[in-house]
Amino acid sequence: MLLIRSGVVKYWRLSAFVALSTLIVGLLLLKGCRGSVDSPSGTRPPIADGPVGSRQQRSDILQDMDPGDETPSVPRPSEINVHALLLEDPRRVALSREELQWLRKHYYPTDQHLAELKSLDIDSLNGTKDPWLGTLQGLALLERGETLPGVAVLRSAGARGAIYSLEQAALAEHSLLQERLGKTTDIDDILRARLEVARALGDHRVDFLIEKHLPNYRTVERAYFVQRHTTEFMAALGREAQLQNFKPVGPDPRPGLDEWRAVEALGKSDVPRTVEVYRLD
Amino acid sequence: MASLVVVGGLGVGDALAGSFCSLSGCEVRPPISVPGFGGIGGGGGWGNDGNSGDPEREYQAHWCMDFPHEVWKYGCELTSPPELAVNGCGTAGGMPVPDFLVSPVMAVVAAGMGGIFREACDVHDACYGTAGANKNACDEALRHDMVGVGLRKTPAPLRPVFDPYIRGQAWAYARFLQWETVGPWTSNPAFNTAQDEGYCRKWSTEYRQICS
Repeated sequence: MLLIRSGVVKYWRLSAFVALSTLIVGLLLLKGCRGSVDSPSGTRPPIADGPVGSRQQRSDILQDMDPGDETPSVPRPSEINVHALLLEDPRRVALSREELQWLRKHYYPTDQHLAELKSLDIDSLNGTKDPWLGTLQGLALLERGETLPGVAVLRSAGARGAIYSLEQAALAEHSLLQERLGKTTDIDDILRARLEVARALGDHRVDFLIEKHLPNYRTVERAYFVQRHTTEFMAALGREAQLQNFKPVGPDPRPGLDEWRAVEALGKSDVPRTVEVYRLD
Repeated sequence: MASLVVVGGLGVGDALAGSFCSLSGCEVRPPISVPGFGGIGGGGGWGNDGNSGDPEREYQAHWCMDFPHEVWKYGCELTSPPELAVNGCGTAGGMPVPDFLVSPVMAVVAAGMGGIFREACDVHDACYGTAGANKNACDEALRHDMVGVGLRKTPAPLRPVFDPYIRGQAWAYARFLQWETVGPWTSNPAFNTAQDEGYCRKWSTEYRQICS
């Protein structure tokens, strides 16, 4: 009887040991998977676990237009007049293949994606952790007039590396605050700081937005406020990463700063010149 | 140096636009207001110092000398006004206020959705800090925004579970801010301070535009 009891105890101990080991191995594997899923922006667009934001869902929604595709088509440059280039939004235009790759890496949408936002099933994307789907959902929400939810979704995508989302969220928030509270310098400070966050993360083309939306902004006079806001907003991105347990994004400079400056210099002259550009397709 | 009329309901720019001078001196019409501090004294107009040039410029010069002293009495330093704090739900009355969903059910999953209320709280911060804002409107907007943003950031399968908690947390935040019993010690002073700071920033901006 004692032997039998001893055997039973040993059996249960063995079972418990096996179960515990399996649990630990499973947890380690899960952690490893999460680490690879939430890899820093630039390697591969992170795709969340679960039904929302899954690879299948992304595939269903975007079909073959996914910028995170492993084998994007070889880009072909087109020529454009410098003055025409500077009049359009330069954020989604690249002057080199490297810059185009950077745009893809940071989830800049194509014209086609923007045109198809109205047909996007945004309700099914609620809570998505995929920065690409978040970008599209946020933009679609803005189009449908859900401004603050759109801002929130875009900013979530931005925390995972979607820089274009951060910029669009900043503009939408600025419009919302102006609509509710009137035009004040404080609100302009907030927009400027939000755009400085995008610049700090790498996009030097925010200059276009600053010139367009804050033409009379007194940069030197407001520097202190902008610096304080920028610090807080950067910290907020870090806190978001901490809460959701993914690695926070860091600076990833957009290539082509010198080339863009050269284009801007050309744009100031009256001589018509053309440049080669690459566009997202 | 003449004192300024500082009662009424209009800002500095309005006052300058509506003021005029005559041989007997200048008057400010409509009067300059200092709403956040409940007014700064009375009096009106100032004498002609015998060196009359452009009356408006003369008035402006006097105003630029006087105004910093007037608002300084009330804690406003025009050259270094307080900053607007836009920092999520932050703290109120010393208590930590989470900007993530607090749910007794699936608490870890709820918190793991991230700071889903941060944007709503940011807008609320900006609302409190804007000179002339209505506190009740700011608080109601917070509740509405929290629900809208919270539901959009909740995955569809979890929505039935978290919906009541999102609405509950939004209601609790707004209700706490509007609660008359504790308001005098919590949200009212916070709002008044934010308003004072908001006016100070507004005056500072106007002062720099007019006097620099």
